[in-house]
Amino acid sequence: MINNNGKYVLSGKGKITLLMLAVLIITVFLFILDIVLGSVSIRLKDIADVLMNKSDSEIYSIIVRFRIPKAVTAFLAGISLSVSGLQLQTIFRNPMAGPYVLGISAGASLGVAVLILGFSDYFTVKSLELLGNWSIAVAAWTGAGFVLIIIMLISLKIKDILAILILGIMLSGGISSVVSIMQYFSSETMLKSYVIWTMGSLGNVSSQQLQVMIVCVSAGLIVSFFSLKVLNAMLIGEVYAGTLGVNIKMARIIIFTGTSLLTGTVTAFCGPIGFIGVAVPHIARMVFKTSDHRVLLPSVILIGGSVMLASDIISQLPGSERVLPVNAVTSLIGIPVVIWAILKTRKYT
Amino acid sequence: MIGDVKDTVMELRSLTAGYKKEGILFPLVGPLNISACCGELIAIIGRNGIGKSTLLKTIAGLLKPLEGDVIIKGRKINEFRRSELAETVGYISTEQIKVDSMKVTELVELGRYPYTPWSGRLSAADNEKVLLAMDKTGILDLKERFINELSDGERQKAMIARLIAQDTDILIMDEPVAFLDIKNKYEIIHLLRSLTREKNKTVIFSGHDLSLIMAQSDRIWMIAEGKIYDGSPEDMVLKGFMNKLFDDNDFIFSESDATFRIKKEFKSEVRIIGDGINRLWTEKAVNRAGFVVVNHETSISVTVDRDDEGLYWIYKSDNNESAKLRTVYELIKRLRSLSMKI
Repeated sequence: MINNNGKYVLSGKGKITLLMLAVLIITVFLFILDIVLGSVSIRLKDIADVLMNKSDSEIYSIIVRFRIPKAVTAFLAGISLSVSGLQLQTIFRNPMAGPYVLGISAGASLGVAVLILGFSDYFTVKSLELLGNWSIAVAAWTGAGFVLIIIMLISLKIKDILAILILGIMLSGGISSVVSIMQYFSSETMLKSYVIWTMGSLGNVSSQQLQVMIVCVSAGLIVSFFSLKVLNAMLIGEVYAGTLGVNIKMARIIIFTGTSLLTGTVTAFCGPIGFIGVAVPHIARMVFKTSDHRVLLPSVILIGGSVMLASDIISQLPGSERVLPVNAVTSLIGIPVVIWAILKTRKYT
Repeated sequence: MIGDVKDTVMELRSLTAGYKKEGILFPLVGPLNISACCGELIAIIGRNGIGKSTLLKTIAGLLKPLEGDVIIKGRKINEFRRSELAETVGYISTEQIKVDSMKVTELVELGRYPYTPWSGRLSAADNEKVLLAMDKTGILDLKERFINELSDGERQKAMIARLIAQDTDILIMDEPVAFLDIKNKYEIIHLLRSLTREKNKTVIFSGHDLSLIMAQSDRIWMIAEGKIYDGSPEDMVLKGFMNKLFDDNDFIFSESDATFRIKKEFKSEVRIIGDGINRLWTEKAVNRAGFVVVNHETSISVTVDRDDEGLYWIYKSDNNESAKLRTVYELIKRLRSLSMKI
């Protein structure tokens, strides 16, 4: 497009394509950086050698068995939580909504706790492994979906943004008390296996678990992809969406199923990770200056993946032997964004 | 009956509108039997809480009728598929929409929702309609602005643009001109009128701006005592329906200037000598001061006229008080000091 001065200026669509490309490049860069950096430093040449199958076995095994799965896990976790956050913010019309702040991650933990601790009389640690990753994932989805339904029922009565937020904190608190009580009554071996699960991090995800994650996250993203048009209509509220022809009940069921899948799966295998889900959609809206989900979904996928990869890189404290809990890093990145979003919302009300 | 059956676009058949709370029915209006024709601008008036919004939501298909039916183009509203209804009836409420990072264009594009495929992609024809709707509402300059940054009037125009882009035969609007300044009120009502005239749309809206509604709408549906009084604005006045609006003997409708007044006990008579616009405004002021204007000889008289220096008022009372005043304000001060003495 040419403006009045005869200079080339980018039209809306061209600008969005260019920005998307920039974010994509950053994501790829961070993905490679996450593989390169760590307690054992690896040169780029080593990666190239691995890719061309002519590396020595030690470096090969670090990269293929450890670094790449961890980077993929981080990427998938970032995507899942951010897409969940985007959907929750739209459905609840609440800029503060996110899987962690609304207690949906806590609900997923509760699902897993019920599975591991609640049936402790019937299982041994060995048989729990046999239960498999799918049953843990299903338990987490159920827990996440359960909390989502509670939040939705209450949000039909209370419209206030901050009241819903407080409700989410209360639910998280309540759920962790229930889990503590369950721990108190469970056998020592079961408790041990539960505690090991709660310490789950990006690095501990096994390749079988990663397979489950890839399947579930893809399914969640497909649901999200087919909801784009409905999500756009939901932005202006359920009444108006209804007058535009949206089947509100159906839309809620579909979008909540997707959100439970995404948040539940990540929480099942990586533990609760905070503030990514609520923060990333705000970053995406700030960068792309739009509310259109057809632009926001791909940008939230890329930015969410990038932020999680960056968090993982920081948590490794490159060059040192120490590793920080990734949840601490994501909170430090996410909280300033959330505070900024609160201030911005206050300005308009 | 005016017009033939083909003209009827919406019909309410013994419709009772209200709401349901914990299984208990709260009927507000009805049973109503009335129909709306193509190309009519219909204003719904009634005091606060009488059920205007509930009725509008019911005829827009957002609430189920407690009893009776809403018939649109010969079919019951609940027989319409969702998408079909979205192409036939559009609705906006008084709710102020605030969405982070939403541009005006994006809001107006949502009006095309019923017509786009699953991907939500707009065709060239859709984009054309979006631009046209923004042009009609005079917000083309604002299309790249965020809706959170607009003034109330601009945002309301954007909402109306969305409704126009939806291109439905029936447009239902709950207080579309609330919170707007007088210029915006007129612009929007004028726009609604042009939709009924140029596109043969039927617009049903609620409002409290009586003088605007009396001047611009084709038809008034006045809700009072659970019933609808129907007629052109002039019918409403001439049949004396307007005084039923508030059902209050001390709050009366003045047929001469289409406004409501609180009934006052007039203290004394004032004769006004003069004519034209000067007399009209002097009368208004004298009325407000609590005097009744007469044309015969009486204890107080006011003459309004013009000399070299401009307008003047000569005030005379029977105790031989007399003064030449230059403003209505001074005149009223005199009259009020007099009424104190009485």
